[in-house]
Amino acid sequence: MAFTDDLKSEVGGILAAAWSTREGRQVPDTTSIRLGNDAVTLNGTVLYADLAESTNLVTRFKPEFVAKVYKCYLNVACRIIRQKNGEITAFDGDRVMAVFLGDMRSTNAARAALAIAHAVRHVVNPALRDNFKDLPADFAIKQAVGLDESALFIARTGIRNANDLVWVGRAANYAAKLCSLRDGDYGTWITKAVYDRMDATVKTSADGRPMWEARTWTAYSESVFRSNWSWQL
Amino acid sequence: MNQEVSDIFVRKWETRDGVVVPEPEDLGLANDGVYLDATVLYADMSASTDLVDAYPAQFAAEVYKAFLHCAAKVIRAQDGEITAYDGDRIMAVFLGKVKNTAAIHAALSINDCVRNIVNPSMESVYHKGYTLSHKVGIDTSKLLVARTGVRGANDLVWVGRAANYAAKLTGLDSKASTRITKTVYDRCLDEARYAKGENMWYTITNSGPGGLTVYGSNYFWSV
Repeated sequence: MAFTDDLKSEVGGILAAAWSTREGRQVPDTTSIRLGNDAVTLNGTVLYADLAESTNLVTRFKPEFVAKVYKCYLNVACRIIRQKNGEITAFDGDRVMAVFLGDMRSTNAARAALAIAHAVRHVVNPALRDNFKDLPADFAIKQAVGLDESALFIARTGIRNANDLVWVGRAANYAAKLCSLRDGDYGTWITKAVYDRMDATVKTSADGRPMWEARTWTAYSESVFRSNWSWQL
Repeated sequence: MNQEVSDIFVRKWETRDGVVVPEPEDLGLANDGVYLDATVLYADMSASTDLVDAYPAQFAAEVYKAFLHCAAKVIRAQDGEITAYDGDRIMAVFLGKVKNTAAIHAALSINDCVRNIVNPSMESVYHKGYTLSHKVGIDTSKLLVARTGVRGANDLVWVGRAANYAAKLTGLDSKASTRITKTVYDRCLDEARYAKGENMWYTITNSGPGGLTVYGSNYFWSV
C-alpha cells in the first residue's frame, strides 16, 4: 500500500498547495520551475507543426525511409522556428511545439508557419524525389501548422528525472487541434486572435493580395483564417 | 537548409538492435538508429480543451499535474520508460519479454489512479463537480529510434506502427478507458486478459488502425 499512499499524498499535495506564480518574459527552462506548485505566466503565441498522414507513411514505407522524412521535416521546422525567434518547447512523434513571445509574437509565428510551408514544398519534397527515384511520381509529404495566442500558465510536471513543462492555456490546445483542419494546400491555420495581432507584412502579399481566408471552426465556434501561401526563406 | 535535408536523405543509416531505451545523447544527430521490439503506451486526458476553457488555469494545471504525475509513477513502477510529454499526454515504451502485460498493467493502474485517487481528491479539495476522464492506447511493433531536431533542442523520433497506432487508439470514439490492438492482446499473459475468470476485454471495432481489431476495457488494477 506504500505506493498507493505515495500517489495519494502527491495528488493531495498538488491539489491543495497554493500556486507560487510569477510573470515571465522568456520561455522558462524546466529547472527554473520547481516540481511543487510553482508556475510562470506568459502571453504567447503557440505553434504546432505536424507532419500529416504519418501513419500512412509508416505502414507503406521502410522505417529507414520514414525516419529520414521525420528528421528532415522536424529539422527544417526547428531551424525556421529558431530563425524567427521562436522557442522549441516539445517534440512528440512527428510534431513539434514552439512558443513565440513579445510584441511581434504573432507576426513572427505566422512568418515561421508560411516559411515551413515553403521549405516543405521547395526543399524537402524536391530532395526526397531526387534521392529516392523509385517513389511514386506524385509522392509528396504534407504538413500543417496551427497557431493561436493566449495567456499561458506554465508549470512543471512528471516525476524526478522524467519531467517537463505543461503549458496550460487555450493556445496550447487550439494550436495543436488546428493542424487537423488541413485541407489540400491549405496547411496553415490560425485563430482570429493571431490574425488581429500580426502586422500587415504577413497579411497581404507584396503585390497587395490577401494571403488569408476567413473560415469558421465549427467545433469550437471560433473565427479562424487559413492560408496556402508560402514565405520565402 | 538544402544541405541539411539532402545530407539526411543521402546518408546511410547506422542501425543496431537495442535492448534499452537510448538517451538522445547515445545517438548521433546524423543518421544513427536503434531497432527495438517495443510496446508503446499513450495516456491522454479527455476533453482538456473544455477543461482549459471552463476553469481557471491554476485548476486546470493542477489536474494536468495530478494526472501526469500518477501516470508517470505507474509507468515507472511497471518498468516502462517515459519517452515524451506533450501537453496533456504522455508516451512511454515498454521492452522485454513481458512488455505487453506490463503496459496493460500500467494502463489499468492509471485507470485506478484517476477513479480512486485523482477524482476523489479533487472533489474533496474543490467541490467543483468536475470529473477527469482519460484514455490509454497500447500497441506493439518493431520501432526504429533516431535522434531529431537541431543542436540544443533535440529528442528521439520513434518510427514504427506502434508509435502511431497507440496515439490513434486514444482518439477512437469509445467509452473504454484502455484500448489495445489484437497484437497486444495476443501477446500478453493471462493475468492481463482475465480477472477472476472473466475476460476484461471486449471488441471496440474490427477495423481499427491498419484494419486491426481493437479491444477495450474499463477494468482497473489497484496500485
